[in-house]
Amino acid sequence: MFVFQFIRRRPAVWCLVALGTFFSPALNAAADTDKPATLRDLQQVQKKVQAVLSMAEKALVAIESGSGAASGVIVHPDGLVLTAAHVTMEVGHKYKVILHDGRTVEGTALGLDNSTDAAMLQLPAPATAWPYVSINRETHQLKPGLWCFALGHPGGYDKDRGRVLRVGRLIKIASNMLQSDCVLMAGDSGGPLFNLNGEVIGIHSQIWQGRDQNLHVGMAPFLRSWDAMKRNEVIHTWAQGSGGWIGLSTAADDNDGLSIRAVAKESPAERAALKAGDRILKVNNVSVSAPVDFSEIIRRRPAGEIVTLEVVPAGAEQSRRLDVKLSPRPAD
Amino acid sequence: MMTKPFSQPAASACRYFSVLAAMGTLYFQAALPSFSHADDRVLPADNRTNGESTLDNLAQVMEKMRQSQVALGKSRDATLAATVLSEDGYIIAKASEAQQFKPWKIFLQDGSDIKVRIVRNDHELDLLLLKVERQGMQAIEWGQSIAVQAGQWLCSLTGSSREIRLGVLSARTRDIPDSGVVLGVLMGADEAEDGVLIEEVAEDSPAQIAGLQANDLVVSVDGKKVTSNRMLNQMVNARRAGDVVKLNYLREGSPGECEVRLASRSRVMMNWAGEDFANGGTSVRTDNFPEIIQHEIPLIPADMGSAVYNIEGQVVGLNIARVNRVTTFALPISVFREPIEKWIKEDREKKSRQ
Repeated sequence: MFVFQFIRRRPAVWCLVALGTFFSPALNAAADTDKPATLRDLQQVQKKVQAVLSMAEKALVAIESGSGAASGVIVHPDGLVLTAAHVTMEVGHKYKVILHDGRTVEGTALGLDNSTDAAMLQLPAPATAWPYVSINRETHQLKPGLWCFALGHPGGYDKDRGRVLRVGRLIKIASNMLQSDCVLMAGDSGGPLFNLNGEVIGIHSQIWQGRDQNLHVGMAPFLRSWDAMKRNEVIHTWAQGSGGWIGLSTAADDNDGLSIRAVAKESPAERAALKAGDRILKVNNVSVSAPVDFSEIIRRRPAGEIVTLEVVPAGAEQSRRLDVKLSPRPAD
Repeated sequence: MMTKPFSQPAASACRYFSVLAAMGTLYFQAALPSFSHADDRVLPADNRTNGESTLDNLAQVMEKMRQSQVALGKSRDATLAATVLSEDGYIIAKASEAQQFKPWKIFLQDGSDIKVRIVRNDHELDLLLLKVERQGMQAIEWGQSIAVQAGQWLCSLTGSSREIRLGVLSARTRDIPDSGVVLGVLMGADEAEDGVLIEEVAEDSPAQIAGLQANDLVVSVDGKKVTSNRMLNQMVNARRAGDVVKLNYLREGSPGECEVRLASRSRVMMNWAGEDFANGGTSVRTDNFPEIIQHEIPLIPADMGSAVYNIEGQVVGLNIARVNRVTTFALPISVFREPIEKWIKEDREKKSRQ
C-alpha cells in the first residue's frame, strides 16, 4: 500500500551523513520571506490557500499498482502527470490512476530521473481536456519561509476522505530538492507541493523522522529533462542534476554591479565571449550586486536554460544584453 | 475471511513491507548527494509553522484555552487532556485512552487535584463524562456549531496544556467505520493443538508494547484456553479498543504472562511495519466514529479530549483520535452537544432527587 522512503530501517551512518550535510549552519543573511509570521500573515495564508484549493485539488491524482499506492499531479491538459521516480520505477509500466472525482483511468509511465526522484506519467487522450495546474518555472525565486501547501493521498486513496491538505513553509532550498514543514507520510509520494498562487513547486519525495523533515523534488530536475523524460528516457547521472553552470567567477565592484574575475575554459561564459573585466549589471532584468546572489541565481536554474545578462564589456560605456545557455556543471 | 480473519490483512501488510525495503535501497543511494549543492539558508526553527514566533500570535487564544482544559490521571506527570463543559464541574475526556490513566483524579490549572465521579462511559462517541465537586469552573463555549472548511487554521493545546499547536482542517468531514480490534500479531499455521503460534508481531502494536514476540505460543486469554486461531480472534473481537486482555503464553517452553491493551485494527494494519513516524504515537481507538473533522495539528494521544479551536478562539470540536503522522480526528460540536447535554441533565435530575 505504501510507496515512500523511510529512514528507520536504513543503516545509521546514512542518517548522520545526510543530516550533517543538510543542516549546515546558515551562511547568508536571512531572506525577506523567512521572517516570523504575524496573525495577519496566517489569515492571509488561509485565504489564499482556500482561494486556489478547488483548482489545485482537481489536478491531484492517486496512482495505484499491485504493490503500492502513491500520488501525482496533472500539469498539462493533454494528461501529463508529474510524480516521483520511486513511484513509477519503470518506463512503460501501467498504473491505475484515480482522478479527483473518483473516476479511474490507466496511466503509462514515461521517462524518469532516478538521480533526483523525478518522473512523468501519461494519461490517455482526454475527451475534452484534463483539469491541470501550472508549474512554477522560476525555481531560483524560491526562498526559505515561503508559504506553501501540500496535497496527496497519505495511506493510499480513500474515497470518503478525498485529498488531504497540509499547509506550511519552505525550510530549505537545494538545487534539486525542497524541504518544508508540510508534513507528509507514505502514500503522499509523487503528490504536489504548491505555492500560494496554486503553481506546483515540488513533488513529494521522502521523509525523515522529524516533523519538519519533509522533502520534495524541485521543478529544476523536471524542467532540465522535460523533453527527455517525455521521450521515455531514463536519467541516471546525478551530476546532471547539479543545477545550471555558467563558468565564471565574479567580484562586487564599486558601482552596484559585479565584475568578472575569471572565465572557465569551454564554459557557457566563454562561448558567449564574456571576458575578465566585463561587468554584469542584471540577470533576467534583476539587478545583482553580490557574487553569492549571482551564483545562486545560476545554480538554481536547470542546465539548458537560457539566462539574459546585462553586461558592460571591459572598456565600454554602454551595456548590452547577452543570452547565455547554462550547461551542467563539469564532473570535477 | 471468516475462518482466518487475521491472516488476510496481515499478509497484505507484509506485502508492502517488502516493497518498501526494495525501494528504499534504490532511492537512498540516488537521492542523498543532491544536497551537496544545497543553498545554505535555512528557515529558523522559531519561524516555522509550529515554531515559537508563529505560535506567539496565539498567546491570547491560548490563555483562554488553558482556562477550560484540565488533566485526568493518577499523578500529575502522567495525565490525559480533559475539557471543562460546565461551571459546576462536568468534564469530558476520551474514554478508551483514559483506561490507562486509572485511578482517576482531575488536576486543575491552579495546581490542586480533585476526585472525580464517573457520570457516563460512552462507547459510541468514545467519551467519558466526569463530575468534580467544584463551582466557578471556566467551561468551553460549545453552545453552537462553528462551520469549518478545508485550509482553515485550527489550534489545540499539547504537552499537558503548556504549549499550543497549529494546523489546518485537511480532509472531508465524514464517518469513520469500525474495523474491529486486534493484538497486532500474524498467527502461524493453525496446527498447534495446545495454543496459537505467533509468527510475527507488528511494530508499535498492542502485542509488541506488551512484550509478545514471534514464536510465542499463546495458550490462554483472560484465563480461558485458546486452541485455534479462530478462537483467539473471537475472544479478541468481543472486546473494544482500549480494553486490556491477559494472555498466558509459552516462550521456548517457559510460561509467561502479559497484559495487552487492544487497539483499532485499522490503526495497527496501517502501521504494520512501524513506518508511520507519528512522532508521539497514535491513539488506541482510531475508528468507529459517527462523524469527525480531520486536521493536521501535531498532537499526541494524551492530548485527545482537548478542544480544538479556530484561531479566532472559537471551539469547533473535541480531539478524539490521533491517527497517524498527518491526521487527527475531532468530534464536531454538532455530534456531541445533544447527547452530552442529555447526560448532564439526567445526572443533575438524579442528583437532585437524592
